[in-house]
Amino acid sequence: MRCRKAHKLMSAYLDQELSVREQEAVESHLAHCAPCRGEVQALTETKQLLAQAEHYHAPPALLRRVMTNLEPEATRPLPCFAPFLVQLGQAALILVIIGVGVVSGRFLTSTGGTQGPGDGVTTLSLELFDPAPPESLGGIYLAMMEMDYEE
Amino acid sequence: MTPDPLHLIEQFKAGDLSSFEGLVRVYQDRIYNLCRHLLGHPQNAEDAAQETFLKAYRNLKRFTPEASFYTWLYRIAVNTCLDFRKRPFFESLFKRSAEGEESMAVEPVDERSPERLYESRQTGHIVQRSLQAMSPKLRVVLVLKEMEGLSYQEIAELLKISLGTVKSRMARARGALQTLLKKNMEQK
Repeated sequence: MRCRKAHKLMSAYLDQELSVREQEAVESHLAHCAPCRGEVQALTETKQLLAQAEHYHAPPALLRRVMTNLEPEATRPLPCFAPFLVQLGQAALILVIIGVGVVSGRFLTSTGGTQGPGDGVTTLSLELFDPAPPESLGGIYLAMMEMDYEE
Repeated sequence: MTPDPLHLIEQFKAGDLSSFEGLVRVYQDRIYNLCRHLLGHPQNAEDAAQETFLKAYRNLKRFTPEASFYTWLYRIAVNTCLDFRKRPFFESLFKRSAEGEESMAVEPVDERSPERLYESRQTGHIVQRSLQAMSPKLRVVLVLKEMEGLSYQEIAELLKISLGTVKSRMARARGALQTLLKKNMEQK
């Protein structure tokens, strides 16, 4: 085994996480490689330093904080993506309204025959409001339209 | 006598919500210790530990006994801590805490001489500072192995990575830590 390979396996060797074969190969290499033995020694010291890291105990307030913040399933707040769903619903509603408007407009302007835009206007303003009394908005509108066409 | 966690989980699933308190009592030290080593700052660690238990509470009914409860809980804690570090305000807190703040946790009584205690605490601070300077991916494997005593296989299952990746990250983590420790020791 070469130093490069041994170096890669050193960490796992220290943690006793190598297969039997790999372990024997590393030990055989270490037996005649002083630099690698030095490397293992340095890693061992690092491990020992880590062992000196403090072991922390949970503060007394943690249990109380956890238990007072537990909520029954029924009163649990909505998941964080709920506002997004609401906005999506609103957008869908707007699209539906626009769609209904487009379909309605096409339905209202479509009479199946060879009619020009004037007839479409007539349809909109005459058929819907027919009969339209002269003094009504429909009647005034029709009068105005007749005047425009005559000009 | 420590209550059996699986028994507490069964009671919880049967409707005894108060048994969850027993689970918190059993695991709070280990979870807090893990969060503390991953996050450094005691308040962040407490917040992350609380969040871990709240998530566990919300999902406990879906836990199946075939899996290890501790691995399941650990996974929640690790993911919570990793998400914690992504929060925008975290960086300013991290910078404030980098200089070895006093722990808010209850420390066990230590009967060593004051000099040895001081030296040990100083070393501990240096180790902690070095750990916090590492990348989260490398720090996690090192903490799980060295502080929590998990095997490589357990770490792989917990983090959902391959065994080869664990070995590789462990080697890189130790190399990075050696460099950081040397630098921080010289600045001592």
